[in-house]
Amino acid sequence: MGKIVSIVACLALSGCGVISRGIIYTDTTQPLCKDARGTGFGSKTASGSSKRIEIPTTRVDIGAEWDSRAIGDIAKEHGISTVYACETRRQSVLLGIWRRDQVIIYGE
Amino acid sequence: MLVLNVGSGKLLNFLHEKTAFFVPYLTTLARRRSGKGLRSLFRDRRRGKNDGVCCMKVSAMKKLLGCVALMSLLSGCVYSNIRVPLDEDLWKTELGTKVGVASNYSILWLVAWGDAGVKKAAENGAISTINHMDMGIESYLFGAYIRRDTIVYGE
Repeated sequence: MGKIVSIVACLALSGCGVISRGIIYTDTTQPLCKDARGTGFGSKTASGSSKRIEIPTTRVDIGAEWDSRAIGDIAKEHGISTVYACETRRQSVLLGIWRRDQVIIYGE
Repeated sequence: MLVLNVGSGKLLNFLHEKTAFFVPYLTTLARRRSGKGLRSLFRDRRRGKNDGVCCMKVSAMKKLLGCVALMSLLSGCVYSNIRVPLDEDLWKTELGTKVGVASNYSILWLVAWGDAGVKKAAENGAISTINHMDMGIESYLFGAYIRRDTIVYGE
């Protein structure tokens, strides 16, 4: 009986927030820049990503993360001087043992 | 952050993202009842220390942590179908005549996929200039199925 009450309490306490993220596999793209007034896309598309590897079996997470997904870096690297829009793509597998966060920018 | 140190790393890290509000409560409860933090309680338990109070409290804490884990997995409510603003900068914004939608999906908390990016939504609505963005969320059975839409308006 106590367990049922606990489960019901948990359900009642859980909110309505959602994260579209999978424990086994994730590959989702979402908007990053949210000021959309008069936004075009330009002729160029470029992306940059940071990668992360983690060992989830240890008590304290041990991992490494490298590379840049900064908009400035991506724009410089791909010769974009005016950025119009951007979005973010996350790919991960198995609780994030491997994860790639990509920023995609559109501009001229 | 405390949960990260008492469990098996990544799983609790994942759970913790959605339950950060609950952890300070657990910590405070543990301190108030036993004069010790959660970490001390679990450490004593591992080392076999039994002061009569510790084990009882650890058991209670475990139940609470179980509840937190369950809450994390069962994030969302029975049914949710809402639309909310994504772009909040609306000064003299004209929405335009076209609407484009792009979605991503998540099933059973295990896999998530889909391109709900601005570009894809604009392509779907044949939009070249975006004036405004909204977001739609449809969720069933505590997040067992989630669809998240990016809705763009423009010309």
